Amino acid sequence: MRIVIPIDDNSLTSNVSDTFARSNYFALVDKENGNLKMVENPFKAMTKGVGVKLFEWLVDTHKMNALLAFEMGYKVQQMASEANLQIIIVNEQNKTLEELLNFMGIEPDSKI
Amino acid sequence: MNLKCFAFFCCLFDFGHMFVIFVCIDNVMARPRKPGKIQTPPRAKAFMPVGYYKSSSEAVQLNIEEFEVFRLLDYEGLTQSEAAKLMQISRSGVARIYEKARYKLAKALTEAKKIDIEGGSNLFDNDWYECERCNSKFNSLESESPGTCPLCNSTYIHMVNN
Ligand SMILES: [Zn+2]
Repeated sequence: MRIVIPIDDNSLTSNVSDTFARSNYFALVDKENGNLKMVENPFKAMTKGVGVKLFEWLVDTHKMNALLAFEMGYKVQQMASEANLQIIIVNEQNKTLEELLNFMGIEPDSKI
Repeated sequence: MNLKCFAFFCCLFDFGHMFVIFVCIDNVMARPRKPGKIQTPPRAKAFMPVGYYKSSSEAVQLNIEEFEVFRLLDYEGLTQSEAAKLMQISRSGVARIYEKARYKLAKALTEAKKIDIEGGSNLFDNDWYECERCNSKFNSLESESPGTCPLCNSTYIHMVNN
C-alpha cells in the first residue's frame, strides 16, 4: 500500500495537515518497503481545479493508492471514492508524521 | 411526475375528482424515500452541553442524513442542487432534510440538549470501519470486511454503523 499523508512541513515531527489539497507538503509512504519521500505540494497556490491536478499527480505519477488525512473536503473524498482509493481518516489532530510511521511499523530514522 | 401531470390535466376538466387525485398524490409522496449517500461517518457520536445538566437525559436525535446535509450546505458551502447530486436524492429532499436539521440544532443549542448522531448502515459510499488500536476510520474497498487496519494492521476493527 502506498499512502499519501498531507503534512505542514518537511520533517518527521511535522503534524498532519488540517487540509488535504492545500497542504504544504506530502509524505509519500510505501508501507511494504518502508520508503518515505517528502515532496512539496506543487498545486498549493492554484486557485481553481486543484483536486483534479493533485489526483493525477498522486495517482498517475506517484502511484499512490491510499490517502490519509485528518480532514478531507468533499471533493477530495469524492475523487478518492471514484478512484477506488483507500481513505484513512485519523482521529486526533495532533498526530505527527513520526507517530503515523510508528503505527505503520516503519522506523523513520533509517529511511531518511 | 406522471401522476402529477395527470392530476393537473384532470383538474382542468373535472373539479369533482380533485380530492381523490390529491389523496393519490399524497400516498405516492409518503412512500419511504431512498436514503441519501453519505461521504464519511461524522467524527463524533454525540455532543454534550456543558454547565447545564437538567435535561441531559433527553437528547435531540440528529440522523446522519440531516448531519450530512447540514455539513454540505453550511460547512462545505454547496448549493442545495449540488448537495442533492452528491447525495443522489432530490433537491426538494435536501431542502426538507435541511429544515429539520436546522430546527433540531437550534433546539439543542437553545434548550441545552445533548445531540445524538444516529447511525444507519448502508448509507455510505463505501462501508466504513474504525480501528480500536489507532482510532482511525477507513473505507473498505471490497464488499467483505478488510480484516485489518490499513494504518496499524490491527485486527481489532469494527464497522461504523452507529
Ligand atoms: Zn489501526
